[in-house]
Amino acid sequence: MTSFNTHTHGHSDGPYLAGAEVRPMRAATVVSLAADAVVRLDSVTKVYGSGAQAVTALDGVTIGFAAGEFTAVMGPSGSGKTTLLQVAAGIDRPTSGQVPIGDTELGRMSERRLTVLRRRRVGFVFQSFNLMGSLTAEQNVALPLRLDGRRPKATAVREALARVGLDGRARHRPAELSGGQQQRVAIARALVTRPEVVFADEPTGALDRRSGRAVLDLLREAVDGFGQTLVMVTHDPAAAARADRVVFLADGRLAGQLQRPTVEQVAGYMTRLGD
Amino acid sequence: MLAVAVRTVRWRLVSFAGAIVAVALGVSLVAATGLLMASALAASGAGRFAAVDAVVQANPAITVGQGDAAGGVATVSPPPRLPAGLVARVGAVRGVGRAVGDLAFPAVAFGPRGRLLSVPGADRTEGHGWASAQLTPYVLVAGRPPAGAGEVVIDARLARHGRVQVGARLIVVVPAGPREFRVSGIAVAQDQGDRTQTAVFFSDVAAPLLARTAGQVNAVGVIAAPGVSPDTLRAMLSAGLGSGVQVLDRGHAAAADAGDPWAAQRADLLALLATVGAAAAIVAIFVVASTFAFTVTQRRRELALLRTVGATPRQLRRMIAGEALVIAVIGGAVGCLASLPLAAPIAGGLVGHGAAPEGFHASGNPVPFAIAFAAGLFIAEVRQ
Repeated sequence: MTSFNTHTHGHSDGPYLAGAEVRPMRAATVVSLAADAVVRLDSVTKVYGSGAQAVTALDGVTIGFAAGEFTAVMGPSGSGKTTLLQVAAGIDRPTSGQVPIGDTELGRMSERRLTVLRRRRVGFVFQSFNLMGSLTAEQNVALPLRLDGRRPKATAVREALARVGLDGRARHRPAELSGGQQQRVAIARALVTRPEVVFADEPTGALDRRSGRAVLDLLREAVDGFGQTLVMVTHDPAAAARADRVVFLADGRLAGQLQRPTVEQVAGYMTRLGD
Repeated sequence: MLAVAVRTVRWRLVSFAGAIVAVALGVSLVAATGLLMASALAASGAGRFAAVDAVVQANPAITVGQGDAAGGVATVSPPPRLPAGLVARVGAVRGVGRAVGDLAFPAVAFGPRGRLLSVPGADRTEGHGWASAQLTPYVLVAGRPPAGAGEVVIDARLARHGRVQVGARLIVVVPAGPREFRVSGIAVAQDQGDRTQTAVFFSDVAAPLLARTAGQVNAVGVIAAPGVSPDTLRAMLSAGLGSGVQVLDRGHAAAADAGDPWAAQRADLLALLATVGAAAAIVAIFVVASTFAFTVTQRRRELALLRTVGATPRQLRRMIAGEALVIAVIGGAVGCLASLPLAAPIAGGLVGHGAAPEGFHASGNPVPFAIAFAAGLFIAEVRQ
């Protein structure tokens, strides 16, 4: 981990003690506790298309996500938030730069190995829930285990559903559940494999305020109660304020971060970024 | 992944219904034509030659062309007649007990008041020499064998339906023209494999003249000498007679019956059925391929979802193959069941248009089901 970027903000107390002041950054580096980083990106650039149509979604981003940390990623539309998430999660490969996982470089892995790695180490929550309509809640939760060739234990699946308060809905199909309930099933599915990190892409984006708050409560609880590492892309300052840290992106570069943010600070920062 | 595939098919039954229907239709047509082909291909049986151990007919394969251009082989149907002298040659082959030259020619009999003699279920009456009676065998139940050119022995079925008794006078139309005969006897078939024909027997001297086939026979029925097995007999006949003739065992003897037009139709019918079956299979392949491609496109989102949840590309391919399998099994089973009621009207149509003999029907042979089912699997899986 020696290649990992060092702290550049002049405080050695770690991010949790750094206060909540807005801290624009000169260098495009955002650092977490380097030794604890579960996922890190080293000078990652992602370019879509080629020639005149080429779009640079990420431009030399270096960032780490520490174990047990809840990070929100914010930025205007088109700033590269979702790309950052997808590259960090191994859904997409970087054009240049490194995404080391353990002692392997993600960019060089075969599609199959990458998939296996992803389903064992990473959980996902999407804005659109992404549940299989043909499967019941418990079958959806068990799906990552089954895809991994493991026989899902009924108790583990029930436990995961109980954690999101849906143990009574195990045999319901997604169409029979509300949006908030579907998202909670998706969270149970993301957590059931006990992944090292969970990525959530606008998990509250399609929900009403109350359901959204319930989902954020669940995510927060996973971090506080189980030490879950969580990276969440969001547009909503209220959602971002539930995180331990907010990272801002603009035009594919890191544009700053806030530790222990408040809603007002986040909203203010976003306004300055021109969202 | 098969379990997920099964659930997906169950849940999306409506969108998969098109593919299932296409597979079922394709399989049912392939199975129906297959069943009919199996019927057409089935060993023709012994038919009128139920009492023989072997039968010799002219080789139906003839070489076309001459000199350097020779080499093309064609099959003529019915096979040409054999020289009557061959009967003696066959009789001289070791292992042969008796060799009987068989003649079969159209013979239409009219009863006392000019009424056509016919039997329900039989579509023709064939004339033979009295010697041919032992090949079935026909056994006299009344009267005596035909003696002289003016006497006939008639089939007991004809006699019963036409209320004809020994001593009655009949007009029989044969290739040589209409002639008047006295019924000298009535014979019943002991083991009649071919119920679609009835027989009128003339004296052995008169028969070739009435048939206008003097010096020729249609086939030679052979009864083995005591202690000679049918296989040994066949081998000896083949070795002793050369390639100019074809030796058939009892199970295929009916094919040598010149009075059985079915022998000539068989090749045409098989070609017709094979064409229909192949066309059905090809149409089904295209229809299933496009309906399946359509459902996969519709589900792009769902497949992408499975990828993010951790399905490898191979698992997805296996899942889609699994869905195809489920569809093929359902469609195949439905198609096989539907093929039986489907085969009946096809057989009826073929009979009605004279492409198949009276009584032609689908066999209960399970092989076409297996083939059609496999074809269904292939159809469903091949579109990947």
